[in-house]
Amino acid sequence: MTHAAPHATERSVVDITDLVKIFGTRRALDGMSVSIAPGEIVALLGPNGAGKSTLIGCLLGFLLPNSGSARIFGYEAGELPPEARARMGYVPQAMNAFPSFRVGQLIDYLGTFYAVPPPPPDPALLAWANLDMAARVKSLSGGQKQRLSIVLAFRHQPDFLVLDEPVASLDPQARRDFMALLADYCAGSQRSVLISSHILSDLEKVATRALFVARGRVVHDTPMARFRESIRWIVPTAGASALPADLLDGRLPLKPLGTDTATGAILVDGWCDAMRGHLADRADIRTPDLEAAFLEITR
Amino acid sequence: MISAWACYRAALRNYASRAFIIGNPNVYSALAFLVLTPGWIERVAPGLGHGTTDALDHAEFNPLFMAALMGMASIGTYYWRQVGDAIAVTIPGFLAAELHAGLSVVGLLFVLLTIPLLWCGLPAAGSAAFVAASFTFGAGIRPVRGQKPWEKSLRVLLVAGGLLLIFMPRWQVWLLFLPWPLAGGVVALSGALVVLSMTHHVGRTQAEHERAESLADARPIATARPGRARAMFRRLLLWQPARLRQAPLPPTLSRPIGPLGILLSALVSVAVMLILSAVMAAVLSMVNGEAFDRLFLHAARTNLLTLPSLALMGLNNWLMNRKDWPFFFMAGRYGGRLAFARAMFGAYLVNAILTGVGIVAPVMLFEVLLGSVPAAAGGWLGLLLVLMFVGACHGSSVPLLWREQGGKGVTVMAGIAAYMTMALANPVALYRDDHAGAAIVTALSIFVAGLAVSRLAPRQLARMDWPFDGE
Repeated sequence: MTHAAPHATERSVVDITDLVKIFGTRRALDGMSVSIAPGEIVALLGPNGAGKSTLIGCLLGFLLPNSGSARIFGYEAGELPPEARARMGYVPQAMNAFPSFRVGQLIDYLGTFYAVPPPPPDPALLAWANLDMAARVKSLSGGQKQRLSIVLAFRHQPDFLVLDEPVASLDPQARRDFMALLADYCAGSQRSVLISSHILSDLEKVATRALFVARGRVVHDTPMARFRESIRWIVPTAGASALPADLLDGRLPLKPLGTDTATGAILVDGWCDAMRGHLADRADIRTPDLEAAFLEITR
Repeated sequence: MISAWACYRAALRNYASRAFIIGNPNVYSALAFLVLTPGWIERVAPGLGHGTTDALDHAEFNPLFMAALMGMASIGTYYWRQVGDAIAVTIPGFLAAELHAGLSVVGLLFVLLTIPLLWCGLPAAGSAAFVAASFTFGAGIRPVRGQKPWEKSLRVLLVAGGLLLIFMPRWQVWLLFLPWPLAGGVVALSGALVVLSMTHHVGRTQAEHERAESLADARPIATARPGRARAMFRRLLLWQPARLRQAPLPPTLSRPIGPLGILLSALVSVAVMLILSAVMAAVLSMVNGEAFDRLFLHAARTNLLTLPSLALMGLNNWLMNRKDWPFFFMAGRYGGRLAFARAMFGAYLVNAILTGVGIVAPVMLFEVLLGSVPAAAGGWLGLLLVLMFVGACHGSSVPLLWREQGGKGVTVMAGIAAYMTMALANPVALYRDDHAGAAIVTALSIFVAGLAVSRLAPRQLARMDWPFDGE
């Protein structure tokens, strides 16, 4: 079987262009466009129903878009050649498959389905997973099943990992260790990750970029370094009834992302300390965490 | 405060809405069997009018019994979906309203399904017992959570008793013409089982779940290995040629048993059927005074032929159970969707052939040994049965040919149609009824149709969305 030459170079691992996916009358993805470069760990953030899982489904090739394209390593997501598919790994929200298999048996069995026979799982990964190889999958707890699916996704050392709520059923220790494992896995490499999670404090530590989605669209896309440097709350000081009007009149390169109606504060992108002079005593600057930004941006 | 009556009415209304139908394929099965019921009545009623019950012989397929069974199963599926969720406990009056609504619908279904039997001229008490007995299976086939040990044991006992009953020759006649005190007993027992199947103890359900989770978490890392003999037996059971080991396993087979494992499980099924037939023959022999050997031969010949149909019923669900697919697909060997869909159909075909040969070989061997068919015909009839089995295994894939989106309901219906075809047009049964030509034509046609579906369906499957997250 021959495969069409890649459409794009591998400067981007993922290229999503005007992706639309409609379920019945609902537009789950409404013209989404995004690309992911090698080495990026992208946090996919959005409220329930924002289109995160649909996006992941299209990227993996399980869902067919109504229009637009989702390309991975330059190939259409549904038509990846084996060697490109073999460079991907996927951790689903829940692992409910293969209940009758034993853990070790399943790891061996699935090993035959990789494009290239994978090496045995990394001992450090197995030590983290702490699974009984003789246990049946159906007898594992939710967290243990999730650790098993993480082992399966990492074992062939993929270049692009898609993680859909990978830590939701893990205990805090396992969650923290997994995040460290993920950071180690990507450190100094060109491996890319798309990770969806509602535990934003975890993502904040490992992500290099945050992709905020709502109503099937990307509503904000920012590298984490920029997020830390230039996204700020501008909060009116106690005496001031409102924010200075000149702050957002276009003269300063600030992009408003949301407003807290209770305090009158606005969340802006593009802040730099040189702008402090414009505030005088009329407003304070506060640094938001990812969760606060998420709540405002995806509102 | 919402009154209990309002809650009850709201719960009842759901049974007439899409909420009841969605994700509940048993509804479609019940409807499919119900559609076949008028034909059954047409066959049975004239005989009953002339005082003969031949048409009710146990070999006669009874769609009304199946409709009642599936109807009850669909109520159970919906009911447990409603009350099984953790949030159900927190809504005041919800559990009681669902229970009362569920039981009301069961009662209504009971009355509605008894009417066709009365219409045929069958006795009221027996008709009620007949429908109630079918409810026993419908209520019993679904595992129920959070029950006390005695409740679980009673359910198993009643279902096992019912299972024994329906393998008895002329069980329909026996049940439909039960004297009213006995019929009343059957109705009462079945009613108790239905109530039992809808009984759960909320605290117990929660405790069961928590216990299972904490046990799993606390289980030490085991290094124990099975004994040598057991390990060898396991290896034998799981042995597969290299090509099969590298083929995706249809999840309906649930474990990677090889050809020897399939053959062994078929032999066990044959042995169970023979034992069951012997038990039935012994009981009937004692009751009716008929010769045991004649009864046994009749029961065994007929019951053995149900095995391929039963195996088919399990295999035909494969398209509805795709939890394993993401792991096969993402591992990468197949690359694109079409190659993967072809690989899945190819693997399914190979498994259908293996299962067909594995189940038909011992069945035909015993059919010949029991004198059901001459040895000279055993070979080619067996081959026809395998071909028909393989073809019919693709019944549930037929809707893929014209449906853009595969639906559970239509897939279930197609699976039932394949099962019915296999049960009603079994080449061995046709041959015994002097329809050898029909046996050959039917079996070959179904095989060719199955192969065509196996060839065409992957392309269609590749054009559909696939479940990917724990469905």
